Amino acid sequence: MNKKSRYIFIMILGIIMNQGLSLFSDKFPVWLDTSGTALAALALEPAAGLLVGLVDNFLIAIFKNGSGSLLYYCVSASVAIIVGVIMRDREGRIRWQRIFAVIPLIIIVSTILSSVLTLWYSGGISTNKFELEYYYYFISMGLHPYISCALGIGVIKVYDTIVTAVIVALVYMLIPKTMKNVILKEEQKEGL
Amino acid sequence: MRFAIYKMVEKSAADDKKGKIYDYFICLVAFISIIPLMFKTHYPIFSYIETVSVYIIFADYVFRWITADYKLKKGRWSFVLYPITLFAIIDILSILPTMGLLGQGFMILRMFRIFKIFHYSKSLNYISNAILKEKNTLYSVLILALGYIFLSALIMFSYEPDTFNNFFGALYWATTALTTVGYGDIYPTTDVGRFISMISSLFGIAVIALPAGIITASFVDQIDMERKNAEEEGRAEDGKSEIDRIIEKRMEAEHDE
Repeated sequence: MNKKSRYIFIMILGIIMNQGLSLFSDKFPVWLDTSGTALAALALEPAAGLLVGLVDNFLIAIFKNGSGSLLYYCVSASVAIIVGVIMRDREGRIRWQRIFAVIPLIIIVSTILSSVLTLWYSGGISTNKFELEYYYYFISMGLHPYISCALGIGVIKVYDTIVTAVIVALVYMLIPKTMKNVILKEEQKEGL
Repeated sequence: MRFAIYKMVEKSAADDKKGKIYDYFICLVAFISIIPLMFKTHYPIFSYIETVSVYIIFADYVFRWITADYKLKKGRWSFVLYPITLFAIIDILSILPTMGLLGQGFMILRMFRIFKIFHYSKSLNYISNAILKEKNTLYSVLILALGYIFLSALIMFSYEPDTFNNFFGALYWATTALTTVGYGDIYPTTDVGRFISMISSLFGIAVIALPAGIITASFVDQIDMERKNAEEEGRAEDGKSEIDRIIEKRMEAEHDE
């Protein structure tokens, strides 16, 4: 399979994963809307993850939330950059042990970004019922609403990032080797 | 992939059809996105136009950002520096009102999208370069004009205090008189006032004509300079763009390896 087809396949798969798996966010305390973004960034490169995240965000804007959701793109963009840059070494090989650094980093960065955006848009009241449950739980403990918002979002991000990591790792292992950017450096030499 | 994106988003060469299509597409989107601003009534279709166009413009912004190292040639710092470049600031300012973070008063910032065309228009680039090149002279003319406006407003306000409600009214009159617009809503009633008005109109013709002449001369210089450079580098014959030269250099480097 040539490079173009491989990129198209993985990126479409990423968009489908983002859209499809995010449907579970109503039933389970996970978002899973960055799983395809992470897969594209891992299997191809960060730029591919950024594109998948952008298309996914565009679809959400068209069919659900309108152009106001554009700012939430920074969350999926951060996932694409973190996964794409940290998971591979300078030779372009994937270092799976780095997943233990990537998961906490994604949790922290995406929690900060999501919290700021939620506070900005709705004063800390999330649209996700699970985040909202945790928000009220922390409020009942006497914490400040802003801190409760960040903690509520953070708890769901912990679940979400761990489940996303498992799904991405499984899908990555399932897709054929010819579909992955196995030796990135050689391809860069070829002139992209 | 990033280099392919860079090749697409940058100003395309004469023979680059895909690049040309992208250039025209972005210009068209930028224009369509400001159409809703031309209507008083908000039709539902405008929301879709807004959403789609904002995403396309934002995608273009992201494309330029992730390929900033090719353009700015400052390594990883390019990604940090890109958001503070002029066009990047204009792009993000034109998108921000749609995100709902800014109030209704800032919606007018959407008109900045038309500046996307600046990315691709050679003539507009010449004009902006011409203005930048002559900025010191233009500053001098501006200071001269502002000084005259202030002085004539001060004199008029002293001689005819009843003609103006406040000093701002005098400044407004002085500006319209200097630019020879003369709306006629405020006018001098004394002989001294009319004399100042006459001088303002005559002086105004010179002051307004000066920047036009300076910019035109600089614009012509820019075109001449570009033509000379093209002849020296042999670009006039082969029609190759900066991107083509980068590709050629890369291929040569790979061949050497």
